[in-house]
Amino acid sequence: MAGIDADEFSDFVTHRSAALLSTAYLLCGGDREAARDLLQDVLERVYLRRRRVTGPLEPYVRAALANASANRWRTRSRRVLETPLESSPEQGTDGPEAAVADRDQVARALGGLPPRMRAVLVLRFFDDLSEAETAAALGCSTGTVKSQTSRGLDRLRTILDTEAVIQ
Amino acid sequence: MNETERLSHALRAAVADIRPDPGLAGAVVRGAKRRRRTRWTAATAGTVLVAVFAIGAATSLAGKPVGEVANTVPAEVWMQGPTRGSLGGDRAFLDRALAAWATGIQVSPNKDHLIGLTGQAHVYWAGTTPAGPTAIVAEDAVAGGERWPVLGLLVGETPRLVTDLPTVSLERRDAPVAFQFGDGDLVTLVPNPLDEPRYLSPAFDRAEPGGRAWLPMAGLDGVALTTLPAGSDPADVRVAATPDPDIRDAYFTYPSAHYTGGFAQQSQGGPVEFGPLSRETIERSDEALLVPGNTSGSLWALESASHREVFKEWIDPLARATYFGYETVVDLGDGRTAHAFPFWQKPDHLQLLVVERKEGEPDRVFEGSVVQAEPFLATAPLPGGRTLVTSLFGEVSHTTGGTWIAATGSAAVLPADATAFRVAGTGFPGGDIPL
Repeated sequence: MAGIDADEFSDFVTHRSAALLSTAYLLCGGDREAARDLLQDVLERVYLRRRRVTGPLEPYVRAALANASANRWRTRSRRVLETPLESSPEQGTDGPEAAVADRDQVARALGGLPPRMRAVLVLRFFDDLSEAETAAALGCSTGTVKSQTSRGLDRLRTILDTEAVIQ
Repeated sequence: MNETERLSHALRAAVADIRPDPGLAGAVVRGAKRRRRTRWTAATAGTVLVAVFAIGAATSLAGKPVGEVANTVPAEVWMQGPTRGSLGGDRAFLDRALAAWATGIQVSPNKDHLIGLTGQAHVYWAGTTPAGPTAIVAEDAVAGGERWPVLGLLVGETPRLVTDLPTVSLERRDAPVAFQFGDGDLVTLVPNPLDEPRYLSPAFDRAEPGGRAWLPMAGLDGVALTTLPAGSDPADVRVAATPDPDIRDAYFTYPSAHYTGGFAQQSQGGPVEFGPLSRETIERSDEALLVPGNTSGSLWALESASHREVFKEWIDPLARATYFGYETVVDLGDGRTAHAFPFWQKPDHLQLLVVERKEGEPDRVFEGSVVQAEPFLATAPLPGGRTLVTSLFGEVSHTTGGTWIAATGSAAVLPADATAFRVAGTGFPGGDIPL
């Protein structure tokens, strides 16, 4: 088994890290720092085991990202929002900021899903993996992928409250 | 455009401005080499023996600088060669173990996760443990672009499958494992092909430097073994290759008690999603409650809190999960604030930790009293005889012996002369709670 040498791996990271970071960003529910940490963590692990990877590296790394995000443990990455006990009026978003807010909203809405359900949606609808490919990446059955997809879309719809956000 | 197409479109728009750090490739290589270094083991005084796990070869080198090696045990170590252990020559037992493996995996709670098995199985180790005759079986698996051995533990004269390790999760395939089995799961058995030193820590102990005492495990030709005294909690056990491990070096432990729950419950080293708090509470708690009149901000990004010196005595360095729930912030005056967190690091143990911060810096940590976990309600003493009451999300009122002071919110600082409080809301105690 030839595996992948160090130079090849560095080239891979250089050329594919933007796409992989995008996947990580969605897997982390729109948390940029957590996405950077996740990607670096996974790439370090893959670097150490690169000689035993038997197929193309990118699907392997995507699967590792999805699994690592779905199995995050020890410390949950989270943002702290301050909410004074006295209620304050909600502020609306207008103008050009609205588009950015909506984009963030979709990523954050993903963050409201259970990690494995989120991973299924990201692999299916961002990375365009088939149900079978998603199942293989996450080590589950295609039936699980189907049910997680269906439930995930339902929950995402509820979180976003309106389809307008994803139009 | 249908819904899923719109979702794909929205997801792509969401990452339009995502850019990696330009130095990522170099940082990855440096980080990977640091990881590898932490796995090196100083085996004997005066000589550094470096366990080099490479595909196709396992070699010990003296004083070799960090090289280009993988840190995985090659499949051949598990799948080939004579069976190790005191029962390695007991052909009848080995055959029974292999037969029990073959039938056991057909009905395993993990059978949907035992993917890519090739049918090539081998007894890696067989010996006698306090639980009886014991075998570790390895079966070759090829899936997900990798080849790796799936391990299983079988126990008894007529062996039965006690635990199998499907390791469908990529990051777990390389992780060293510790089986826990026997009465109360008090026997810990670690596959140890190179017969290196292995250490076991029974529990987190605040009095111990580093939070844990480490005991050398007994070596038994290819495995390491420790049996804990009755009354020990196997969930607290950690195993490592050094007596001063980093969290990343801690072994995954697999209590047999979790086996029948299937893969999701099998590993104590896996995700601990919610612990003693409900999903709803976790999802609602990503916010800080500022007690009215408070002028301070939230403490800090809580992820970093666990690394701070001030928490050292409170956090198990090898906790499977540490979770700080919502934060209640109280302004104490004189530049001091108190920050209270529901905190758990064991699924069955919820605490209220309070951090006093002086001029912005954490000064001391102490523990409050949890009245109930769900919905969360806790109290903590504050300077001047006052009491913090924090709930998620009740309405706190109190009395000083006469009239009741109306609720001000889900958290409140009660004066020193308060004698009782109440919390209104579903699931909270209905009556007065004396102070």
